[in-house]
Amino acid sequence: MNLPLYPLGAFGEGVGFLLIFLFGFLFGFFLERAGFGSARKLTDIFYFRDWAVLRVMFTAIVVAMLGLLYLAGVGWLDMDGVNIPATVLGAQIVGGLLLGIGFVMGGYCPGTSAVGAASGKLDAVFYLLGLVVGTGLFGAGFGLLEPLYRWGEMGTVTVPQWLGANAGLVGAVIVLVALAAFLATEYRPGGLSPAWNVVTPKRAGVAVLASLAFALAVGYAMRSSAPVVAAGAAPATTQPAAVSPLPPTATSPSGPVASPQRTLPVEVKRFKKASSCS
Amino acid sequence: MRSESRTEYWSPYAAGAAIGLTLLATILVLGGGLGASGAVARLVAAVFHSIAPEAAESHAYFRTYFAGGRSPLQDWMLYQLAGVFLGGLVGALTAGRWRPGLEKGPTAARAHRLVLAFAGGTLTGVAARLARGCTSSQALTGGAMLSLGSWAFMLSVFAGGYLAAWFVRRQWS
Repeated sequence: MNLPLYPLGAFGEGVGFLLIFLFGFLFGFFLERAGFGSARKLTDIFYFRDWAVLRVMFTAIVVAMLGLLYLAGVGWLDMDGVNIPATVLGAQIVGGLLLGIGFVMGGYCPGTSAVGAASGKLDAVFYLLGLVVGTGLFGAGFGLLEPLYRWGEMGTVTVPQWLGANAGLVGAVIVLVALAAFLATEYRPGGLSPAWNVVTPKRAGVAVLASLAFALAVGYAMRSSAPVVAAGAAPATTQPAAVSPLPPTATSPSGPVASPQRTLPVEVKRFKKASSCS
Repeated sequence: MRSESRTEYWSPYAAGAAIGLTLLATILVLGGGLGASGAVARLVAAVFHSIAPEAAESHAYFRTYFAGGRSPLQDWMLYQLAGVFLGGLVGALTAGRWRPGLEKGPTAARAHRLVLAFAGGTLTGVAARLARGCTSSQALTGGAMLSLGSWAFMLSVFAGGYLAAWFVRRQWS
Protein backbone atom coordinates (compact mmCIF):
# COMPACT_ATOMS: atom_id res chain seq x y z
CA MET A 1 0.00 0.00 0.00
CA ASN A 2 1.30 3.41 -0.99
CA LEU A 3 -0.87 6.03 0.60
CA PRO A 4 -1.66 8.84 0.10
CA LEU A 5 -2.14 8.05 -3.58
CA TYR A 6 -1.87 11.40 -5.33
CA PRO A 7 1.21 12.74 -3.55
CA LEU A 8 2.99 9.48 -4.34
CA GLY A 9 2.18 9.86 -8.01
CA ALA A 10 -0.64 7.36 -8.50
CA PHE A 11 -2.56 9.63 -10.87
CA GLY A 12 -2.48 13.08 -12.42
CA GLU A 13 -4.06 16.37 -11.61
CA GLY A 14 -7.14 15.98 -13.83
CA VAL A 15 -8.17 12.80 -12.05
CA GLY A 16 -7.46 14.60 -8.78
CA PHE A 17 -9.90 17.37 -9.66
CA LEU A 18 -12.59 14.82 -10.45
CA LEU A 19 -11.97 12.93 -7.21
CA ILE A 20 -11.99 16.03 -5.03
CA PHE A 21 -15.27 17.01 -6.64
CA LEU A 22 -16.70 13.61 -5.68
CA PHE A 23 -15.40 13.83 -2.11
CA GLY A 24 -16.84 17.35 -1.91
CA PHE A 25 -20.16 15.99 -3.11
CA LEU A 26 -20.18 13.35 -0.37
CA PHE A 27 -19.15 15.95 2.22
CA GLY A 28 -22.01 18.26 1.20
CA PHE A 29 -24.51 15.41 1.11
CA PHE A 30 -23.58 14.13 4.56
CA LEU A 31 -23.55 17.67 5.99
CA GLU A 32 -27.09 18.07 4.70
CA ARG A 33 -28.13 14.74 6.22
CA ALA A 34 -26.64 15.84 9.54
CA GLY A 35 -28.99 18.84 9.40
CA PHE A 36 -26.18 21.30 8.83
CA GLY A 37 -27.94 23.17 6.04
CA SER A 38 -29.93 24.76 8.86
CA ALA A 39 -28.50 27.77 10.69
CA ARG A 40 -30.90 27.16 13.52
CA LYS A 41 -29.68 23.63 14.10
CA LEU A 42 -26.04 24.69 13.78
CA THR A 43 -26.28 27.51 16.31
CA ASP A 44 -28.45 25.58 18.76
CA ILE A 45 -25.26 24.22 20.30
CA PHE A 46 -24.41 27.73 21.51
CA TYR A 47 -27.74 27.93 23.35
CA PHE A 48 -27.48 24.44 24.85
CA ARG A 49 -30.47 23.20 22.85
CA ASP A 50 -28.94 20.69 20.44
CA TRP A 51 -25.56 18.98 20.61
CA ALA A 52 -25.50 17.79 16.98
CA VAL A 53 -22.52 19.99 16.04
CA LEU A 54 -20.40 18.56 18.84
CA ARG A 55 -21.47 14.97 18.12
CA VAL A 56 -20.99 15.16 14.36
CA MET A 57 -17.67 17.00 14.53
CA PHE A 58 -16.13 14.83 17.19
CA THR A 59 -17.33 11.62 15.59
CA ALA A 60 -15.88 12.72 12.24
CA ILE A 61 -12.56 13.77 13.78
CA VAL A 62 -12.25 10.59 15.81
CA VAL A 63 -13.07 8.32 12.85
CA ALA A 64 -10.63 10.04 10.50
CA MET A 65 -7.95 10.34 13.18
CA LEU A 66 -8.16 6.65 14.11
CA GLY A 67 -7.92 5.73 10.43
CA LEU A 68 -4.81 7.87 9.98
CA LEU A 69 -3.16 6.59 13.15
CA TYR A 70 -3.80 2.94 12.33
CA LEU A 71 -2.82 3.17 8.66
CA ALA A 72 0.34 5.09 9.48
CA GLY A 73 0.97 2.68 12.33
CA VAL A 74 1.02 -0.38 10.06
CA GLY A 75 3.06 1.55 7.51
CA TRP A 76 0.53 1.78 4.67
CA LEU A 77 0.27 5.54 4.93
CA ASP A 78 3.26 7.82 4.62
CA MET A 79 2.53 10.85 6.75
CA ASP A 80 5.18 12.78 4.81
CA GLY A 81 2.75 12.87 1.92
CA VAL A 82 -0.04 14.26 4.09
CA ASN A 83 -0.42 18.01 4.12
CA ILE A 84 -0.81 18.80 7.82
CA PRO A 85 -1.91 22.42 8.34
CA ALA A 86 0.95 24.50 9.73
CA THR A 87 0.54 26.08 13.15
CA VAL A 88 0.46 29.84 13.61
CA LEU A 89 -0.76 29.77 17.16
CA GLY A 90 -1.59 33.42 17.82
CA ALA A 91 -3.26 34.01 14.47
CA GLN A 92 -5.24 30.80 14.78
CA ILE A 93 -6.47 31.55 18.29
CA VAL A 94 -7.55 35.08 17.33
CA GLY A 95 -8.94 33.84 14.01
CA GLY A 96 -10.79 31.05 15.80
CA LEU A 97 -12.38 33.43 18.30
CA LEU A 98 -13.49 35.76 15.49
CA LEU A 99 -14.75 32.87 13.40
CA GLY A 100 -16.73 31.57 16.37
CA ILE A 101 -18.36 34.99 16.79
CA GLY A 102 -19.07 35.12 13.04
CA PHE A 103 -20.50 31.60 13.25
CA VAL A 104 -23.03 32.37 15.96
CA MET A 105 -23.91 35.73 14.36
CA GLY A 106 -24.25 34.45 10.83
CA GLY A 107 -25.59 31.01 11.72
CA TYR A 108 -23.18 29.13 9.48
CA CYS A 109 -19.56 28.36 8.89
CA PRO A 110 -18.22 28.51 5.31
CA GLY A 111 -18.81 24.87 4.33
CA THR A 112 -22.26 24.64 5.88
CA SER A 113 -23.31 27.95 4.30
CA ALA A 114 -22.76 26.35 0.89
CA VAL A 115 -25.11 23.54 1.96
CA GLY A 116 -27.59 26.09 3.34
CA ALA A 117 -27.52 28.07 0.11
CA ALA A 118 -27.99 24.85 -1.85
CA SER A 119 -31.04 24.13 0.32
CA GLY A 120 -32.59 27.43 -0.75
CA LYS A 121 -31.78 29.49 2.36
CA LEU A 122 -31.51 33.21 1.72
CA ASP A 123 -29.62 33.83 4.96
CA ALA A 124 -26.94 31.41 3.77
CA VAL A 125 -26.62 33.39 0.54
CA PHE A 126 -26.16 36.58 2.57
CA TYR A 127 -23.56 34.81 4.70
CA LEU A 128 -21.68 33.72 1.55
CA LEU A 129 -21.76 37.29 0.22
CA GLY A 130 -20.35 38.40 3.57
CA LEU A 131 -17.57 35.82 3.22
CA VAL A 132 -16.57 37.33 -0.11
CA VAL A 133 -16.60 40.84 1.35
CA GLY A 134 -14.66 39.74 4.44
CA THR A 135 -12.04 38.02 2.32
CA GLY A 136 -11.66 41.23 0.30
CA LEU A 137 -11.42 43.28 3.49
CA PHE A 138 -8.71 41.00 4.79
CA GLY A 139 -6.77 41.49 1.58
CA ALA A 140 -7.29 45.24 1.66
CA GLY A 141 -6.14 45.49 5.26
CA PHE A 142 -3.36 42.94 4.96
CA GLY A 143 -0.69 45.58 5.56
CA LEU A 144 -2.16 46.27 8.98
CA LEU A 145 -3.07 42.67 9.74
CA GLU A 146 0.19 41.04 8.68
CA PRO A 147 1.85 41.07 12.13
CA LEU A 148 -1.24 39.37 13.55
CA TYR A 149 -1.34 36.98 10.57
CA ARG A 150 2.20 35.84 11.38
CA TRP A 151 1.84 35.86 15.16
CA GLY A 152 3.09 32.61 16.60
CA GLU A 153 4.40 30.87 13.48
CA MET A 154 5.60 27.43 14.53
CA GLY A 155 5.70 25.45 11.30
CA THR A 156 4.04 22.06 11.19
CA VAL A 157 3.57 20.94 14.77
CA THR A 158 1.26 18.20 15.98
CA VAL A 159 -0.24 17.97 19.45
CA PRO A 160 1.85 14.86 20.29
CA GLN A 161 5.01 16.65 19.18
CA TRP A 162 4.12 19.70 21.21
CA LEU A 163 3.41 17.63 24.30
CA GLY A 164 6.36 15.37 23.69
CA ALA A 165 3.89 12.52 23.97
CA ASN A 166 3.12 9.39 22.04
CA ALA A 167 0.73 9.96 19.11
CA GLY A 168 -1.25 6.81 19.89
CA LEU A 169 -1.70 7.89 23.47
CA VAL A 170 -2.88 11.37 22.42
CA GLY A 171 -5.29 9.76 19.95
CA ALA A 172 -6.62 7.43 22.64
CA VAL A 173 -7.16 10.34 25.04
CA ILE A 174 -9.04 12.26 22.33
CA VAL A 175 -11.32 9.27 21.73
CA LEU A 176 -12.03 8.95 25.43
CA VAL A 177 -12.71 12.69 25.79
CA ALA A 178 -15.09 12.51 22.82
CA LEU A 179 -16.88 9.51 24.34
CA ALA A 180 -17.16 11.34 27.66
CA ALA A 181 -18.61 14.38 25.86
CA PHE A 182 -21.14 12.18 24.02
CA LEU A 183 -22.23 10.47 27.23
CA ALA A 184 -22.42 13.77 29.12
CA THR A 185 -24.66 15.36 26.48
CA GLU A 186 -26.81 12.22 26.15
CA TYR A 187 -27.31 11.94 29.86
CA ARG A 188 -30.79 12.46 31.19
CA PRO A 189 -31.57 11.97 34.88
CA GLY A 190 -32.51 8.34 35.20
CA GLY A 191 -31.95 7.77 31.50
CA LEU A 192 -28.77 5.85 30.98
CA SER A 193 -28.50 3.75 34.08
CA PRO A 194 -31.01 0.88 34.23
CA ALA A 195 -30.82 -0.70 30.79
CA TRP A 196 -27.09 -0.94 30.19
CA ASN A 197 -27.49 -4.65 29.54
CA VAL A 198 -29.28 -3.89 26.27
CA VAL A 199 -27.03 -3.62 23.24
CA THR A 200 -27.98 -0.59 21.15
CA PRO A 201 -26.08 0.83 18.18
CA LYS A 202 -24.86 3.69 20.33
CA ARG A 203 -23.55 1.43 23.05
CA ALA A 204 -21.91 -0.82 20.49
CA GLY A 205 -20.31 2.27 18.98
CA VAL A 206 -19.04 3.38 22.36
CA ALA A 207 -17.57 -0.06 22.96
CA VAL A 208 -15.90 -0.21 19.53
CA LEU A 209 -14.37 3.25 19.86
CA ALA A 210 -13.22 2.62 23.39
CA SER A 211 -11.51 -0.63 22.42
CA LEU A 212 -9.90 0.96 19.36
CA ALA A 213 -8.57 3.72 21.56
CA PHE A 214 -7.28 1.19 24.05
CA ALA A 215 -5.60 -0.87 21.35
CA LEU A 216 -4.03 2.25 19.91
CA ALA A 217 -2.64 3.37 23.23
CA VAL A 218 -1.25 -0.06 24.02
CA GLY A 219 0.17 -0.56 20.52
CA TYR A 220 1.98 2.71 20.44
CA ALA A 221 3.15 2.43 24.00
CA MET A 222 4.68 -0.97 23.25
CA ARG A 223 6.36 0.34 20.13
CA SER A 224 7.94 3.37 21.71
CA SER A 225 9.32 1.32 24.58
CA ALA A 226 10.55 -1.44 22.28
CA PRO A 227 14.28 -1.78 21.65
CA VAL A 228 15.51 -0.07 18.51
CA VAL A 229 15.02 -3.09 16.31
CA ALA A 230 15.52 -1.60 12.92
CA ALA A 231 18.16 0.97 13.60
CA GLY A 232 20.76 0.55 10.93
CA ALA A 233 19.17 -2.69 9.79
CA ALA A 234 18.70 -3.44 6.12
CA PRO A 235 15.69 -1.69 4.59
CA ALA A 236 14.52 -5.13 3.49
CA THR A 237 13.14 -5.72 6.99
CA THR A 238 9.53 -5.51 6.11
CA GLN A 239 8.08 -5.99 9.51
CA PRO A 240 5.15 -3.67 9.43
CA ALA A 241 5.60 -2.82 13.06
CA ALA A 242 8.98 -1.27 12.40
CA VAL A 243 7.93 1.07 9.65
CA SER A 244 7.33 4.75 10.10
CA PRO A 245 5.77 5.65 13.37
CA LEU A 246 3.25 8.37 13.36
CA PRO A 247 3.09 12.04 12.75
CA PRO A 248 6.63 12.87 12.00
CA THR A 249 8.11 10.82 14.82
CA ALA A 250 7.90 13.60 17.37
CA THR A 251 10.30 13.48 20.23
CA SER A 252 9.78 9.79 20.74
CA PRO A 253 12.83 8.29 22.40
CA SER A 254 13.05 5.65 19.70
CA GLY A 255 12.91 8.23 16.94
CA PRO A 256 15.72 6.80 14.82
CA VAL A 257 13.69 3.66 14.15
CA ALA A 258 11.87 5.16 11.27
CA SER A 259 14.28 7.32 9.41
CA PRO A 260 16.39 4.80 7.52
CA GLN A 261 13.37 3.19 5.91
CA ARG A 262 11.47 6.28 4.95
CA THR A 263 11.95 6.53 1.25
CA LEU A 264 9.41 8.15 -0.99
CA PRO A 265 9.37 6.43 -4.37
CA VAL A 266 8.51 9.62 -6.18
CA GLU A 267 8.83 13.24 -5.48
CA VAL A 268 5.92 14.23 -3.29
CA LYS A 269 3.39 16.33 -5.13
CA ARG A 270 1.18 18.73 -3.30
CA PHE A 271 -2.27 19.79 -4.28
CA LYS A 272 -2.14 22.68 -1.94
CA LYS A 273 0.79 24.95 -1.52
CA ALA A 274 2.31 24.11 1.79
CA SER A 275 2.35 27.71 2.91
CA SER A 276 -0.51 29.98 3.63
CA CYS A 277 -3.32 28.76 1.43
CA SER A 278 -5.92 26.65 3.03
CA MET B 1 -41.07 29.41 12.80
CA ARG B 2 -41.99 26.59 10.52
CA SER B 3 -41.69 23.29 12.20
CA GLU B 4 -38.83 21.18 10.97
CA SER B 5 -39.22 17.46 10.93
CA ARG B 6 -35.94 16.61 12.55
CA THR B 7 -36.60 12.90 12.31
CA GLU B 8 -35.44 13.05 8.71
CA TYR B 9 -31.96 13.92 9.84
CA TRP B 10 -29.53 11.10 10.37
CA SER B 11 -28.27 10.30 13.82
CA PRO B 12 -25.40 12.74 14.44
CA TYR B 13 -23.11 9.81 15.08
CA ALA B 14 -23.99 8.20 11.75
CA ALA B 15 -23.59 11.47 9.88
CA GLY B 16 -20.35 12.16 11.75
CA ALA B 17 -18.96 8.73 10.89
CA ALA B 18 -19.90 9.25 7.22
CA ILE B 19 -18.16 12.63 7.19
CA GLY B 20 -15.16 11.15 9.00
CA LEU B 21 -14.84 8.34 6.43
CA THR B 22 -15.16 10.88 3.59
CA LEU B 23 -12.43 12.97 5.20
CA LEU B 24 -10.22 9.91 5.69
CA ALA B 25 -10.70 8.84 2.07
CA THR B 26 -9.87 12.35 0.88
CA ILE B 27 -6.63 12.37 2.85
CA LEU B 28 -5.65 8.84 1.78
CA VAL B 29 -6.32 9.54 -1.89
CA LEU B 30 -5.25 13.16 -2.24
CA GLY B 31 -2.95 13.82 0.71
CA GLY B 32 -5.01 16.78 1.91
CA GLY B 33 -8.38 17.19 3.50
CA LEU B 34 -11.63 19.03 3.13
CA GLY B 35 -12.00 22.79 3.03
CA ALA B 36 -14.39 25.55 2.04
CA SER B 37 -13.17 29.07 2.79
CA GLY B 38 -10.07 28.67 0.60
CA ALA B 39 -12.31 28.38 -2.46
CA VAL B 40 -13.95 31.72 -1.65
CA ALA B 41 -10.50 33.31 -1.30
CA ARG B 42 -9.51 31.97 -4.73
CA LEU B 43 -12.69 33.30 -6.28
CA VAL B 44 -12.00 36.71 -4.78
CA ALA B 45 -8.42 36.57 -6.06
CA ALA B 46 -9.67 35.65 -9.55
CA VAL B 47 -12.19 38.50 -9.63
CA PHE B 48 -9.51 40.90 -8.39
CA HIS B 49 -7.24 39.64 -11.16
CA SER B 50 -9.84 40.11 -13.87
CA ILE B 51 -10.28 43.74 -12.81
CA ALA B 52 -6.66 44.67 -12.13
CA PRO B 53 -4.21 41.92 -13.15
CA GLU B 54 -1.00 43.66 -12.14
CA ALA B 55 -2.32 44.86 -8.80
CA ALA B 56 -3.57 41.35 -8.00
CA GLU B 57 -0.31 39.64 -8.95
CA SER B 58 1.73 42.03 -6.84
CA HIS B 59 -0.71 42.24 -3.93
CA ALA B 60 0.93 41.41 -0.61
CA TYR B 61 -1.65 38.74 0.24
CA PHE B 62 -3.36 37.65 -2.96
CA ARG B 63 -0.15 37.15 -4.94
CA THR B 64 0.28 33.75 -3.28
CA TYR B 65 -2.72 32.57 -5.30
CA PHE B 66 -0.97 33.34 -8.58
CA ALA B 67 2.28 31.52 -7.80
CA GLY B 68 3.72 29.73 -10.80
CA GLY B 69 1.59 31.69 -13.25
CA ARG B 70 -1.48 29.55 -12.61
CA SER B 71 -4.99 30.83 -12.32
CA PRO B 72 -6.33 30.61 -8.77
CA LEU B 73 -9.32 28.84 -10.29
CA GLN B 74 -7.12 25.91 -11.32
CA ASP B 75 -7.26 24.57 -7.84
CA TRP B 76 -8.86 21.66 -6.09
CA MET B 77 -10.64 23.80 -3.51
CA LEU B 78 -13.04 25.17 -6.09
CA TYR B 79 -13.87 21.75 -7.50
CA GLN B 80 -14.49 20.65 -3.98
CA LEU B 81 -16.77 23.56 -3.08
CA ALA B 82 -18.74 22.90 -6.26
CA GLY B 83 -19.08 19.31 -5.05
CA VAL B 84 -20.21 20.42 -1.59
CA PHE B 85 -22.83 22.67 -3.15
CA LEU B 86 -24.12 19.95 -5.45
CA GLY B 87 -24.05 17.36 -2.67
CA GLY B 88 -26.01 19.71 -0.42
CA LEU B 89 -28.51 20.35 -3.21
CA VAL B 90 -29.03 16.65 -3.90
CA GLY B 91 -29.28 16.01 -0.16
CA ALA B 92 -31.90 18.72 0.35
CA LEU B 93 -33.93 17.66 -2.69
CA THR B 94 -33.96 13.96 -1.84
CA ALA B 95 -34.94 14.73 1.75
CA GLY B 96 -37.72 17.06 0.67
CA ARG B 97 -36.00 19.87 2.51
CA TRP B 98 -35.37 22.23 -0.42
CA ARG B 99 -37.40 25.36 0.26
CA PRO B 100 -36.59 28.94 -0.65
CA GLY B 101 -36.72 31.12 2.45
CA LEU B 102 -34.74 31.88 5.52
CA GLU B 103 -34.61 30.73 9.10
CA LYS B 104 -35.26 33.09 11.97
CA GLY B 105 -37.09 33.27 15.26
CA PRO B 106 -40.88 33.70 15.14
CA THR B 107 -40.83 37.37 16.17
CA ALA B 108 -37.47 38.44 14.73
CA ALA B 109 -37.53 40.61 11.61
CA ARG B 110 -36.23 39.19 8.34
CA ALA B 111 -33.89 42.16 7.94
CA HIS B 112 -32.50 41.53 11.42
CA ARG B 113 -31.58 37.97 10.50
CA LEU B 114 -30.19 38.89 7.09
CA VAL B 115 -28.03 41.70 8.46
CA LEU B 116 -26.59 39.35 11.07
CA ALA B 117 -26.01 36.64 8.45
CA PHE B 118 -24.13 39.10 6.24
CA ALA B 119 -22.15 40.57 9.15
CA GLY B 120 -21.31 37.10 10.46
CA GLY B 121 -20.16 36.06 7.01
CA THR B 122 -17.99 39.15 6.70
CA LEU B 123 -16.36 38.56 10.07
CA THR B 124 -15.83 34.91 9.17
CA GLY B 125 -14.26 35.93 5.86
CA VAL B 126 -11.61 37.92 7.71
CA ALA B 127 -11.21 35.29 10.43
CA ALA B 128 -10.77 32.38 8.03
CA ARG B 129 -7.93 34.15 6.18
CA LEU B 130 -6.31 35.02 9.50
CA ALA B 131 -6.56 31.44 10.75
CA ARG B 132 -5.64 29.97 7.34
CA GLY B 133 -8.84 28.00 7.09
CA CYS B 134 -12.24 27.39 8.55
CA THR B 135 -14.17 24.72 10.36
CA SER B 136 -13.63 22.24 7.52
CA SER B 137 -9.96 22.67 6.73
CA GLN B 138 -8.70 23.52 10.20
CA ALA B 139 -11.03 22.08 12.83
CA LEU B 140 -12.07 18.93 10.96
CA THR B 141 -9.09 18.13 8.75
CA GLY B 142 -6.30 19.57 10.88
CA GLY B 143 -8.01 18.20 13.96
CA ALA B 144 -7.94 14.66 12.58
CA MET B 145 -4.27 15.14 11.65
CA LEU B 146 -3.64 16.33 15.25
CA SER B 147 -2.23 19.69 14.14
CA LEU B 148 -1.61 21.84 17.21
CA GLY B 149 -2.85 25.05 15.58
CA SER B 150 -6.00 23.33 14.35
CA TRP B 151 -6.91 22.19 17.84
CA ALA B 152 -6.22 25.66 19.24
CA PHE B 153 -8.39 27.05 16.44
CA MET B 154 -11.24 24.63 17.14
CA LEU B 155 -11.34 25.39 20.85
CA SER B 156 -11.23 29.12 20.06
CA VAL B 157 -14.18 28.78 17.66
CA PHE B 158 -16.32 27.25 20.39
CA ALA B 159 -15.11 29.85 22.90
CA GLY B 160 -15.96 32.70 20.51
CA GLY B 161 -19.36 31.23 19.75
CA TYR B 162 -20.33 30.81 23.38
CA LEU B 163 -19.01 34.29 24.26
CA ALA B 164 -21.04 35.99 21.53
CA ALA B 165 -24.20 33.83 21.61
CA TRP B 166 -26.04 35.95 24.16
CA PHE B 167 -25.60 39.13 22.13
CA VAL B 168 -27.13 37.75 18.96
CA ARG B 169 -29.83 35.59 20.52
CA ARG B 170 -32.73 37.79 19.40
CA GLN B 171 -32.59 36.57 15.80
CA TRP B 172 -33.95 33.27 17.10
CA SER B 173 -36.58 34.73 19.43
